[in-house]
Amino acid sequence: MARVQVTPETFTLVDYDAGAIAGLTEELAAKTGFPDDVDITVEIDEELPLPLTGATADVVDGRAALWFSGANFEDGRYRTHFDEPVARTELAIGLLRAADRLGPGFADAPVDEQLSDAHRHAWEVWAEGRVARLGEHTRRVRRLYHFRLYNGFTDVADAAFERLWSADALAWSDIEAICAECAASDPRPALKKKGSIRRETLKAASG
Amino acid sequence: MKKILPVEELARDSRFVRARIEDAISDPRQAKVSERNTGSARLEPARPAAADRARQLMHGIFVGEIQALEGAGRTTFDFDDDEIPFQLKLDMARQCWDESRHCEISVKLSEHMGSEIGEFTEATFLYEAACAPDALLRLTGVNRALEGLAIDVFNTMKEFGDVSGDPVLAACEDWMLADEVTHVKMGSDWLRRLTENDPERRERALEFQRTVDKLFSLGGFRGETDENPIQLARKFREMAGFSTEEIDDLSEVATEAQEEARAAADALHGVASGD
Amino acid sequence: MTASGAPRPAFAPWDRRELPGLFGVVESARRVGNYKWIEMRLFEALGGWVATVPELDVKFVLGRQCYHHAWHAELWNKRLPELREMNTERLTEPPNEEMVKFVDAVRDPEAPELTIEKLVGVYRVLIPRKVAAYTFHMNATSRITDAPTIRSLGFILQDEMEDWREGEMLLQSLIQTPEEVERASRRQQALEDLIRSAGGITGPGTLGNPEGQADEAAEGVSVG
Ligand SMILES: [Fe+2]
Ligand SMILES: [Fe+2]
Repeated sequence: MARVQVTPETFTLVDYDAGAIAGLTEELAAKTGFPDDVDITVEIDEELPLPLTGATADVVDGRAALWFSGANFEDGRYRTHFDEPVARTELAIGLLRAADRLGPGFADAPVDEQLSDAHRHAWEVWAEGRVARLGEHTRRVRRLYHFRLYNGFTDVADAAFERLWSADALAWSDIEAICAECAASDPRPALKKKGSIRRETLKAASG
Repeated sequence: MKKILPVEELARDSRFVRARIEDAISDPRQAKVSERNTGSARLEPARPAAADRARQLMHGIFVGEIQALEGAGRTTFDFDDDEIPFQLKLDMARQCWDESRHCEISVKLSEHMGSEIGEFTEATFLYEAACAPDALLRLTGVNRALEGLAIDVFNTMKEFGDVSGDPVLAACEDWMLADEVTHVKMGSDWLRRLTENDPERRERALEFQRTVDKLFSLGGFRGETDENPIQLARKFREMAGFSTEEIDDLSEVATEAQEEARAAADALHGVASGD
Repeated sequence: MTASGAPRPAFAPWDRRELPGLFGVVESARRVGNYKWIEMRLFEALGGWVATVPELDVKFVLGRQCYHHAWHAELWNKRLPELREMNTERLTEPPNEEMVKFVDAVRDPEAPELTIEKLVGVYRVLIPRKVAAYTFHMNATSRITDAPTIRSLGFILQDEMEDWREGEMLLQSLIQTPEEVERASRRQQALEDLIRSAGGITGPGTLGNPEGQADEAAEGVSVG
């Protein structure tokens, strides 16, 4: 069995190719230094169009379990079309975050579905900063906007973003500390609990 | 240069890609996603994918502003001196400048949110309502319907800026909102003046506005319930010359549009699942 | 009153304005009518072109400047009744048929690849002609009797100079190849020829008539 499994094997709603995505994942796993002996599953929810983006990166039974909304790989200019540079970044971010979870520094991190938006976005900033340093296409200002939305439109949050983006090594406790610092200077009332567009979560919530 | 420029001829640089209505209709994800609970309809940070939803909406506002600019500009050119009053032309030229500023603001706001020009497709239904050959229909289609939609959208975006604590977004939307109230008021005033002695013509123009308003309600995108991402901005519409009855009417039109869209989605789903 | 109690002169020593000007009321009104006409044709063209130019920066500039010229037309429209022309439409006209031909030619380009042609017409031919006509009027008319026109001319000329500079900078950045230089020159030459035939924004004598100046001045004095 191949190390990378992409679900679905055949896309029927969007113009994506599971084989090509598996190939990109292999390539980016090597590029990001993802451990050779860990299997990777990439699940893509092809029902979700732009702008309904979302992604999770967990470690389940010793393998990296990456879930993406189809929107994360979609070309905003051409409906249902695959945007390779964007997809590469998304896959690389997922791989780096799953690799983080394999190390001792992130042993205490909750699974993605239980992370707060602030924590998950902070972690993704760190991951995208690393992807940028690998020479991949990244969208720094978009990432900053996402980060500010959950950690505050403040100078403290902007400084935290810079630290996260350029950090080489962090642990879960560092992410927690950085988000706590942002929260302390954020004048907004505490944000409402996040929602989710994952089908599994919805089933659980409605069932 | 000819009078009345058709929508296909709007000039764009290579970054822009036009949305084709048939692509949206034939996208099978539409029916699927309507069955899913994708969170609260209102734009707020807790809404799933709030950041990208806001970015896409902002890009939609940007291209909408370009089309509003083009629509106002065309109205200054398309009608001869004996067809529309001089003062109306001046008002349209003023609107042209305002929309030009809105485009500039929208570019800056899009940059602030990390979007690129042309990152999302451009739908051109706004301009389509802005190129009617009858000046009065433009006033109702553009100044009352399109600019009215702008009031609703900017008010929603301003509220999103407020709840997300984004001072740049909130301030910019508030400035644009002030201009749009002026534009709608221009439409309300000119409609009244130009049809003072012609109630039939006025009724035809208002009928056209109702049609456009239904189109602009975008199948439930705009309305007054918790299900509508864009809320009718009653207070600002009143400032712009809409009567309470007119706003009630619009609310009804929006509800109709939502019900029709739902019925269409159900029918499509029935076909898709073989029911 | 001065400290000595002597009344002050009506004109301060530095106020060197004189009564005589080159135009009377009638001539001033005629010119103002031509100004309003050209400002209208220009703001309409800029407004119409917005949708036909693909360059975003040009689109936004045209949208902004469309209103500048509309405002100028409004100022002239307000000035006409003050010059005894109660039916402002009557004098809102071109000076001659050649002027109509020139304006039609300026407004003719439509295709999205003709931005250079559009801008050359406005910024290298029409606006320089307007600047010249307005400056002549400002310098030639009576600084006392026609002061309201001069005040409007001051505001308008400020816009024209700034808009001219902005348009010229757009053109310089758009003209990148020898072929584009050629296109711009050809276009300018064709339009120059047309406006030369028209005699300028207000027809022959737009910038005065060196031989006939004495006569016009006399009229100005007699009316003023
Ligand atoms: Fe606008
Ligand atoms: Fe507007």
